[in-house]
Amino acid sequence: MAIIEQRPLELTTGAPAVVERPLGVLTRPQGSTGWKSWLFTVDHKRIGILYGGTAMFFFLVGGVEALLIRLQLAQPNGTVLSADTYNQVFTMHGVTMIFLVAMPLAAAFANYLIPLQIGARDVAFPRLNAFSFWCFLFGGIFLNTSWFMGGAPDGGWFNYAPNSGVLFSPSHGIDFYALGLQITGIASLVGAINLIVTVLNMRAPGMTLMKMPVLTWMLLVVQFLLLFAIPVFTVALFLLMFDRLYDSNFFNVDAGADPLLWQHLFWIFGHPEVYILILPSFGIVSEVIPVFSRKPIFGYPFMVFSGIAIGFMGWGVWAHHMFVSGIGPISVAAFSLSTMFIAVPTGVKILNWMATMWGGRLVFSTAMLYAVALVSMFTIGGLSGVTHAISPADTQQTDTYYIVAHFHYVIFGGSVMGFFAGFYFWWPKAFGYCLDEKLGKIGFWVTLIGFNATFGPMHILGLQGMSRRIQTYSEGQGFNFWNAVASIGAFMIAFGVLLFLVNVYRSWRRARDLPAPGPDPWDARSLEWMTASPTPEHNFDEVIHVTSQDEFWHRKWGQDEEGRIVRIAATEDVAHDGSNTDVHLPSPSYWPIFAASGLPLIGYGLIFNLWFAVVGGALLLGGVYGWVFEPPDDPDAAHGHDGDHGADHGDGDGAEPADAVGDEPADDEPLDDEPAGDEPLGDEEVAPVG
Amino acid sequence: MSLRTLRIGGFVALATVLLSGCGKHPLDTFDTDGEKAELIADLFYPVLGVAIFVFIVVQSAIVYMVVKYRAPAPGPDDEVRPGGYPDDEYPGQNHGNTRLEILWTIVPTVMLAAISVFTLVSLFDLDDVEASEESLAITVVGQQWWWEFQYHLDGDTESPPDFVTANEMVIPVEVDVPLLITSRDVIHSYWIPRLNGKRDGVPGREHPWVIQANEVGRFAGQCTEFCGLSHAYMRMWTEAVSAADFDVWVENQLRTQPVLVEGDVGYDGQQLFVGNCQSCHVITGVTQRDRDGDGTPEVDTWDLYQGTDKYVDPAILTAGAAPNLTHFMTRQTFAGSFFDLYDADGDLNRAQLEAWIRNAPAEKPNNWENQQGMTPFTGLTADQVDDLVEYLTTLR
Amino acid sequence: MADTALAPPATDVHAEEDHAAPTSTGLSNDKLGMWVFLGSECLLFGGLISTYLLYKNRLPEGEIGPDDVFDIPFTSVSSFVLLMSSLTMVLALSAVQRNDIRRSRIWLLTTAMLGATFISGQVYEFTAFYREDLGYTTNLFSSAFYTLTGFHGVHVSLGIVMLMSLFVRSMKGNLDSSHSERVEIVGLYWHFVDIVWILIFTIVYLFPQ
Repeated sequence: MAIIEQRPLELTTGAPAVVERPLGVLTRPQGSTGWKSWLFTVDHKRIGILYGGTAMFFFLVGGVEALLIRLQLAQPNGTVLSADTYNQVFTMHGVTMIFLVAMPLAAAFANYLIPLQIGARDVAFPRLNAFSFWCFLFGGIFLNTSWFMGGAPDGGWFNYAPNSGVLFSPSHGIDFYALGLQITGIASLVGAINLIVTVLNMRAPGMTLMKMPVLTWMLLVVQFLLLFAIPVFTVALFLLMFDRLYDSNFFNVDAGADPLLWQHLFWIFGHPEVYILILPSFGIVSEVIPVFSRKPIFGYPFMVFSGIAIGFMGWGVWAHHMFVSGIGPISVAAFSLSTMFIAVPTGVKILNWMATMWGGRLVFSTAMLYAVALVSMFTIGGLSGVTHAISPADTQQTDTYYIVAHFHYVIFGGSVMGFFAGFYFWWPKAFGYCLDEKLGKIGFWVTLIGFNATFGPMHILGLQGMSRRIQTYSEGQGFNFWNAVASIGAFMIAFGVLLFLVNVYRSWRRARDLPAPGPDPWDARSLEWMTASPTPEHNFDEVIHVTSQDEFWHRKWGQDEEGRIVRIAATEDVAHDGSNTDVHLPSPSYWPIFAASGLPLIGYGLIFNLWFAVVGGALLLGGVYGWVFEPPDDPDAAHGHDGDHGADHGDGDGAEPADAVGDEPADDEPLDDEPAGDEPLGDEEVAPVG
Repeated sequence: MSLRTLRIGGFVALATVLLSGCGKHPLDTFDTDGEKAELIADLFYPVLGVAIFVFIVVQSAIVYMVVKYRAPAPGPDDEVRPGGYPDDEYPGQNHGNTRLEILWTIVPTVMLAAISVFTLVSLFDLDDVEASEESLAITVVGQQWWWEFQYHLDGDTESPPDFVTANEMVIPVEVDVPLLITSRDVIHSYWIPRLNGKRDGVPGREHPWVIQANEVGRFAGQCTEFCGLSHAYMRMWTEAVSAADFDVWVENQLRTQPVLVEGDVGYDGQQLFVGNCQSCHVITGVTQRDRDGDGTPEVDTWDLYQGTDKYVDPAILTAGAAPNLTHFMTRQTFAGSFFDLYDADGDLNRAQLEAWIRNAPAEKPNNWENQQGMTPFTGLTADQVDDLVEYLTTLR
Repeated sequence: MADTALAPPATDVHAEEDHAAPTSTGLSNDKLGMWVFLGSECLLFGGLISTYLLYKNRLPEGEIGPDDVFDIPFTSVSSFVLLMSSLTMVLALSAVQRNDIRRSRIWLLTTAMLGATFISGQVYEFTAFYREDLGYTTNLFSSAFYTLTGFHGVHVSLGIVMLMSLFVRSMKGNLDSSHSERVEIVGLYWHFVDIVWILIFTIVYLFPQ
C-alpha cells in the first residue's frame, strides 16, 4: 500500500536541518488559520474537531429523521409519511446515527484525546488521519445525496437480503447504502490502523500499557474491533453491490443462495459494532467519574480487562440477532449462553464505576451528571438485554419495540450520554472556554426525562406486541397512549439537544468576559490536562516522562504523614503553558482531501455512469501519487527538519534539545502485559499517592 | 411540529385516561393463551424479576451515593471552579479491591448460569411437538404482503396440500399443530404473540414451528420481519375452534366451488373474475389455466387429484401468487387481514371491499408495477365491481 | 513544593545512537501499520473464503461446476510461480540490506515478473472458464469463485505496482540499505498475499468438491 506514512513522528524538539527538496511536488499548504488550514490540516486535534462537528451535524439530520418517525407514529393511522418515505426515513435514521454519528463521535474523541493521553505529538500517520476524516465526510454526504437521486436506502440499516435486491428495492437507494458505507468503512479501517499504531508505538516514555488512561484503553479495543469487523462488512457490501450492479448470485434464492449468508456476515460485523459504539463512552465516563468523585478509578486492571473481555466476547455472540431466523436449536442455545455471559464484564464495569463513586466527594458538574446517567441508563439497557439473551423470550421480543427500547437505552442511554459527558468535560480543553453549567444542567434534565419518556414506553409497547419498522398501527391495537408519550418524549430530547447547541453558542459569546479556564479546570488526572487550553498545536512543550497511572494528578497531589491528600504542586507549575513554539510538526497536505474526493465520484460512477468513476479514479490515483511523492514534512515550513523521507530519520540532527536536562535515558518499555503496573492491588489497600 | 405533537399527545392521553380499562391489546405477549407462549412467559417473568431486582439495587445504590457522597456546596468565600468545585479536599483514595472484583464477577456469573439452565430447558421444550390424534400439518408461506396456509391433513408436508387458504389459519383447539414456515420472496416472520413466539419465513428454507391454543378464540398476528412497503399492513389471524367445528370447517374447505351457469346469482361476476383475476387468484374448481401447455385451459378442480396418489402440481392451488379465494366468505378479514370483511353487525363491509378491488394500491401501499401487490383495476365500472362482489359473496 | 513532581528530565529519544525506531514497541510505525493492516486483510479473505465454501456445493443438477472447469496442473504451475516469487522477494530484501543495489534490482524485477506471470495465468484461466460458459453470473459457484480469486488477483496486482515503484526508485538510485525497511514492508505484504493464495489454492482447487 502506497499510502503509508513515510516515518514516525518524533517526540522531540529539534533544530532545523538542511534538507533536500523533493521533486515534482506542489507548494505545500501552510499557515494555521483560515479555512484552508482546516481543509488541509493533518493536526489530530483539528481532525478530531472536524469529526465532532460533522458528526453533530449528522446527529441533527438523524434527529430530524427520528422526529419524523415519531410524528408518523404519534397516533394510529398516521399520515405524515408514506410507507415508502417512512422506510427510507427509518433506514437513514439508523444508518446515520450509527455510521455518521456514533462512530465518528468516537473517532472525534479518539483523535483528539489519544495522542494527548499517551503524551504524543500527533498520531502515527497524520495524513492518513486526514484522509480518514475526508472519507467519512464524503461517504456521509454521498449517502445523503441519495435523497435527491431517486430515493434513500429503504431496506433498514440491517438491510436483509433478499429484500435488498434489485428485484425488491429497484431504486438506487441500496446502491448508495452499499457504496456509501464502503467509503465510510475505509475511513474507519484506516483510522483504526492509524490509532492502533499510535497507541502501541507512540506512548511517552514510561507510559506502559497498564498506565494508559481507561479511555485510551477502551478506544484501543474499539480500534481492534473495527480492524477486524470492518473487513467482514466490506465483504458483505461487495457481495451486495455485485448482486445489485453486476447480477451475481450471492443472494439470489432462485440460484440456490441462502439469505442467511447476509445475516451472518452482517452480524459478525454488526455485533462487534455494538461494542464499537458503546466502549468509547465507557472510556469517557471512566475518565469523568474519577475526576468528579475525586478518587482514582476503582479496579483499574479490572476495568481494562473487562473492556478487553467485552471486545473478545463480542465476536462470539453475533447470532443472537438471528434467534428466529431459523439457525437451528443448537446454534441458538450456544449463542444464547455466550450472550448471557457477556453481561458479566459489562456488570463489572458498572460496579467499578459505582465503587469509584463510593466514598468519594461527588461534584455534580454537567459532565458528571451525564456520566452518572450513563451508569444508570445503561444498566437498564443491559438488564433488558439479559431478558432477550434468553432465546425463548427473544422469540416474543425480537423485532418488536422492546428491542427498539433496549438498544436505545444502550446507544442513547450509553453512547450518547457518554459523548455528552465528554463534550462538557473536554470542551474547555478543546476550545478554551467552559460550557455553561446552569444551561448544561437544564439541558441534561430535559434530555434525560425526554429520553426516558421516549424509550421507556417502548418496552411496554413491544411486550404488547408492537412490531418494529411498521409505518403505522391501527386504532384497535392498543398502542395509542404509549406511542403518544414516546412522541412527546422525542420532542423533549430534541429540545435538550437544542439547549446544548444554544449553550455552545452562548458560552462562546460569553467566554471573552469570563476568566480563561486554564489548563486544568476540573483538577483532572490524565496528561491531556497538563498542557494549555485550548491545546497548543504542538500538544506538549516537552516530553513527559510517565511514572504512574494518573501521572498528572500525582504531580499535583501527594500524601502527608497521616495519609491525607495534600497538594504538592500548583497546577500552573506542573502544566505546560504551550510556549514552546520551536517544535517540529507534520505539515498540512492537499493530498488526503484530494484523494478522498475521488471516492464518492467512483460511487456515483458505479451507480449512474462509469465516466464519473473514471474521473473519481483519476482523482484517487492522483491523490495517492502526490501523497507518495510528498514528504510528510514541508522543508519550507517554519520548523521543518529532516525533510527526507523514510526510515532515515534522525541521521542529521542529533542535537540535544535546549530544554533537555539530565541524562536519564528514555524509558521506552515495550508492551507491558503485567496487569499490576505500579498500582499494587490488595484488599482494603489504599495505594500510596505521589 | 412540537406543538402539534403535544396536542395530539394530550388528546390521546386524555382519551386513554377516559377509556382506561377498555384498552385492548390483541398482540399482547403477556396475555398468553397457548402452551408455548406460556412456556416463554414462565421463563421471562422470573428473569424479568431478577432484572428488576438488580435494577432496583443498582439505582438505589446510585441514588444513595448521590445523596450521601455529594460534595458540600461551595461556601461564599470559596473559589469556585468552572464545574462548581468548592474544595480542594480529597477523600480517602481507594484503588481497588481484588476480593470485591472477584465477588462481583462470580455472583453475576452464577446468576446467569442458573438462568441459562432454565433457558436451555425451555429452548428445547419450545421445539417439542406433542403427538395428537390429529395428523394435521400446515405449511405457512409468507409473501408480499399476505400469508398462505397449505393444509396437509395427513401431516405430510412433502406431498401437495389438500387445500389452501389465506391470512386466516384455522386450527383445532388444544392440539399442537406443526408448522413449516417459508417464504416466496423476501423474509417474513410469522407471529401470533398470544400463542407462541415468532419464526422467520426465509425463501429457500423451511423452518419448523408449532402453534397451539388452549382455548377457542381468534388470535391476532403481525408480520415482524421488515418486508418492504406494506410490512405494517401484513397481518394474520389464527382461529382455534373445537375439534368438531374444525372437522366441519375442513369438510367445507375441501368442497370445490361450483362453476356458475348463466342465470345463477353471481354469474356475471364469475365471468369477470375469470377474465380479470384468475391470472393471480385461484378459486378451486372455477378458475382455468393452461397447465399442460396444450393451448386449452383446464378447469382447476379438486377432482384432479382428490383421492388419487397421482402427483399434482401444488401450483394448482397457489398459482399466480395471490391469495386463494376459495371459500372467501368464510374468512373474517381480507387483504393481508388488514380489513374486516364484516362490520360489527355481521354485514359485509362492502365499501371497503369494493374500494380494494377497484384500487388496491390506494388502500394499502404496494408496488404493483414491480409485481409487488395487487394491481389497480380502475377501469372497472361500478356495475362490474358490484358484479364481482356479488360473485365473491357466493364463495362460502 | 514542586520537588519531586516536576517532569523528569526530557531526553531526546530520537537522538540515541541506536538507529532503531524510537517507538514504544521497537517496530517502526510503518512496519507495525502494515502488520495491523494485514490482520484486517485476514478477515477480508476469511469472509470471502467462507462465502465460497458455503456456496461451492450449492449447484443445481447439471450446472457447470468446479469439476468441469478446473485445470489443476495448470493452476499448480502458476501457484508454484507465485510461491517462487516469495523466495525472490526474500532475496531482494537481503540484497538491499547488504546494499547490493544491482542484485536488489534484479530480484525486485524478478519478483514483479513472477507476480505478473501469475496474473497472466489467472487471466488466461478466467478466459478459458468463460469460454466453457462459466460467466460471472452463471451460478453461485461462479460468482463466489470469480469474486474470491478476483480479489486475490487485485491484491497481487497492487503488490506488483508496489514492487515496480521500488524498482523505479532503485533505478533512480534511491534505494540503498538505509531504505531496506521499505522493501521489508512491501515484502510483508507480498508474502501475505502468497500465503493467502496457498489457502485459496488448497480450499478452492484441491479440496474434493
